[in-house]
Amino acid sequence: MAYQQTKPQDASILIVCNHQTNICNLSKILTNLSFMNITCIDCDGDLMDEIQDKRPDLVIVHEVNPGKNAIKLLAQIRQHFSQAELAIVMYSDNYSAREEAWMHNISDYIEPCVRANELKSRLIFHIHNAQELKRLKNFECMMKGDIRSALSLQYSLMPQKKILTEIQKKYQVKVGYLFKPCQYLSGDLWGILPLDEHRFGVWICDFVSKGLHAALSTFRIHTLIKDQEKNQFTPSLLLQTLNNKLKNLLAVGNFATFLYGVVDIRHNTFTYAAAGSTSPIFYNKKTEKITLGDSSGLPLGIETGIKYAERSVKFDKDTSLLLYSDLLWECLDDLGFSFDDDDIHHFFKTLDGQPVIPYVEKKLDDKNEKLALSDDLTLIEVTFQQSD
Amino acid sequence: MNKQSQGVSMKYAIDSTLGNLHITIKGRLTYTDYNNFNYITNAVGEHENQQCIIDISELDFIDSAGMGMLLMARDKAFRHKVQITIKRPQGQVGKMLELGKFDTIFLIEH
Repeated sequence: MAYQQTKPQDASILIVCNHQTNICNLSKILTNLSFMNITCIDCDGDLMDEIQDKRPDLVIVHEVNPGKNAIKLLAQIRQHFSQAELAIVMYSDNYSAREEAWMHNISDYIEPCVRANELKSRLIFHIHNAQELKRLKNFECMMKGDIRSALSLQYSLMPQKKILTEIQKKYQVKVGYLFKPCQYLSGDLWGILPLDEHRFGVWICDFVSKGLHAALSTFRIHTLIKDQEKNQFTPSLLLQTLNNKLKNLLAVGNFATFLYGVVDIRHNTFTYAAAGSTSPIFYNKKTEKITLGDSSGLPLGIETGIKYAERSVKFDKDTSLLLYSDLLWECLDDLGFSFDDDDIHHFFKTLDGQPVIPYVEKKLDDKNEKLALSDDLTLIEVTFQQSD
Repeated sequence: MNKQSQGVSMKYAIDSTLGNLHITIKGRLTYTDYNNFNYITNAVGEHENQQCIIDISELDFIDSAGMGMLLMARDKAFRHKVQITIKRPQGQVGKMLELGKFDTIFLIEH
């Protein structure tokens, strides 16, 4: 439920008295200062339950009688509620307790001799802070829930286990992938679709920048591609169509890099069109041959009427096809490897025949989790049937 | 007008003292430079019917958001009839512009 912020005078104030409440005059003083929502309890009651139930905006520990230890009371409350959770004001003229009170992270120490307007002003200040903190916490909590739902929706756009199993079985390939947003949601997306008995299509998309805006755009492109699935499209035709549609949807400065390719397992070819995506990599772990495909092309959503070149690569058996987002060109410092032209040969040498995905996964695990990636990460590895 | 940026990543200079608009961008142009880049886009818009040279010979790195900013300057230029020429892209920046076929939408001088 959303947190309802009240006027400071309507905020709930709990006065905890270290003596009998009938001799506590603070409640009357605060009422005279227009505070309307005051509860006064003594420290012998179920104090923690009371605070937990009422969740007051402010607790005032009123030391009526210095003989009873108000500091103990403070310590007890702070054991249960941190400074960020609960503002506590100590109201006392016991000068000797002052320093110790501050050590228990009180928000303020107010002496009864304070002028009425100053008391009011200081209490309003603490109430306002406490209410703002509550509001922010509530907002953060709601946002976290919304983002969790949105991320789960985004995951649902990606190929599910059922389709991956079907593709693997039908075309005798292995398909693995890694998907890691750098902030809450990702601007990357990929997909795979069976076409006929010996061909399937695979695509990868990376929107400019990161975060919510880019993530929302991935939902758009997913719908646009779904709309096209009923049509018989070639890679270049798909890119042309998506480009013309995105040009009308994206603001100037936004665009998507994209690659769609058709794997033909009968002819061992990968026929693709690209719009400024990263280069598809073909890697044969037996011969250690690496082939980088040309992926140049104007990204989608910048200009209408662009024709995209259709290119074809012939691959051997025992080859893996890697498609990936551009973080993997720039992650040398972050992850200790990169797919940049200068580093790619070194990467595969280090890999020494292992599959790529588990290796990169391990690098991500080794990385300090507190250090976020600088961009979204998507990596798809398609390994073609091994020869005997 | 002669203006220079104080930023950490992208550094820029705008010089319009010789008639045409001459912009120099150095360092790294990434999504963190969006606000600073507005000064460049606005300068382009203030020089109706003029030539604009964007010298990026000392720009070491550009990401996709940085490329998006160049597109925003291009859009502004189009609306104000300004002719943009991008000069001497090097290294990674040259590669990225080539990969994105930016030579089909910008005049690029190497």
